[in-house]
Amino acid sequence: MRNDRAFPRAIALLVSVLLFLFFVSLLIGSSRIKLGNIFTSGSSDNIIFFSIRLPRATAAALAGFAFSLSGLLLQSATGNDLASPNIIGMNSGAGCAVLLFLSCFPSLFMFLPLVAFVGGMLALLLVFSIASLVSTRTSSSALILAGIAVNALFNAVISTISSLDPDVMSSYSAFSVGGFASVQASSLIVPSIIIAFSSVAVFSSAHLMDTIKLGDEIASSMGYNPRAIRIMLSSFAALLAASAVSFSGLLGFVGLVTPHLAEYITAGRSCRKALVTVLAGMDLVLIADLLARTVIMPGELPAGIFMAAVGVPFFIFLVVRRAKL
Amino acid sequence: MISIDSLSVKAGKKVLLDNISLNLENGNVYALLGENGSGKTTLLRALTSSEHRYSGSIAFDGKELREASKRERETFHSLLPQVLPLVDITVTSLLEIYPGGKEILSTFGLEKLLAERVATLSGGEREMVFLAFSLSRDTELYAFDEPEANLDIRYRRVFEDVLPELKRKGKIVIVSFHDISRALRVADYMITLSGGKLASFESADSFLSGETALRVFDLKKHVFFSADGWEKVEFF
Repeated sequence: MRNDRAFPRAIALLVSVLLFLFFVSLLIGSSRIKLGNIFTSGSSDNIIFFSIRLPRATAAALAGFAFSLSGLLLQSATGNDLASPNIIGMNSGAGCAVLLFLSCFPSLFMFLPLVAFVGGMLALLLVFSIASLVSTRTSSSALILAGIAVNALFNAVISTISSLDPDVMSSYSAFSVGGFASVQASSLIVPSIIIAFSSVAVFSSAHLMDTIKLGDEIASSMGYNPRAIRIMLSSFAALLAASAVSFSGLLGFVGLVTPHLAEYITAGRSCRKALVTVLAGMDLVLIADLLARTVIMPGELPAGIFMAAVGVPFFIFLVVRRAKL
Repeated sequence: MISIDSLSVKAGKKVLLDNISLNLENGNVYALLGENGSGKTTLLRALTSSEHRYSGSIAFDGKELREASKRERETFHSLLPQVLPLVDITVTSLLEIYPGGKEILSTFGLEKLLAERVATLSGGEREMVFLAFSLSRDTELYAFDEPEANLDIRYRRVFEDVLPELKRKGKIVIVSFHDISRALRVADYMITLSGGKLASFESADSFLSGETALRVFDLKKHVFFSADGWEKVEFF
């Protein structure tokens, strides 16, 4: 897979899988629809197709895209293969905010996406400010360490709230596993604008990810400011992940897996790597969501469960393969 | 020309470099000597924009380094650090960042490494790959931080052969060394640091005939003659 032909082949494969999965997601579900009826306005097939299936498949693809790119950005910024949206406090911050909000205003669950976004961003600001207190030379591990500390703090708050107010736990558990069961088209508009804006910025500055990999000393000697690059990459990572968390829940795990697949295929160039990463992310989340709503049809399980079921063995396979290279 | 004036670097209360002033002229190789912790790496880092906590002035042809733009700094300096990154990219993609990198590696006779990943190379091979990367950049200053520490005799010869070309192009080369004899072999001038201070700045000839090695390192000079008339100098 290490030759130059691996990249175009991988792209072709990932794109065809993506199209296939997207169409299957639109066609399969707990109720059968006839393709011929979907454009008849007012018919139940029309409503199911445009108000439920299309937003849902779009949400899954969008979440896979955003979490994967976020993971790649964080792994580049920290120089650490284990970095993912979870590690910078994104999950626990968003989770904590959601739980707190549910506990105080149990009836206002339509605001949960916004609350999750704000919580994730707050956790991230906290992680950044702790990391910036640490010396500039160790800034890559500082971010990870600060993330672990902030995660521990927010998890403690989560445990406290759930002990004091066990009722919110049922609403919270669906959010914490992650899934697309209740996605509405309207809740995708703002996140998709943020995700589109961030992606353009990221892809047009992919060479900065290549530079930062060479280490602070070489990057500085090339005229760059490595610290500023790190902060920029992590900020876009946070924006992407927080946007996705707001409609999908805590599916951040996909962001850990897909950059490793991309590394395996592309051997380095960041622009190519980013492309493979986001395509694989969309594929993976679409598969997870498809399984989530078909395995016990007409019932449904959270997509996060299948994310782990598909992602973990795949991740272990990649790590083992890479160790042998 | 690079003018260094009253350069000091402090990390907290610790003084890493103390009031260094010297001028580096184009077309010369400067060897940087000093014990561990004497400030060699700090000086090279300051000269290549990796160390920002300095006071005093570093100027490339009159342009103050801390006021230089990204584009200017890219043409000022190229650094081969002492600790090289274990990046998981191929040698080819590293050496394609600047034009001519792959060709330089080929002149080292190491084109077989192009398909490898940087992280899987041996220490010496990685040093040679990053040396090629550093040389693929067209800059005024080339700073090499203990390049010979990882190199066997064969690769040391390759490194040595790179320097005359840089001198001919009018570049400024500064190389830190632990081995005084190796430094004398390649350098025009010797910069000796001790405890962050400039202990001596003199031509290689003056260093060889003078007392700096004894004064700073407590090393005596020993001269050996081979059967065919070669003179070999060792300090111990």
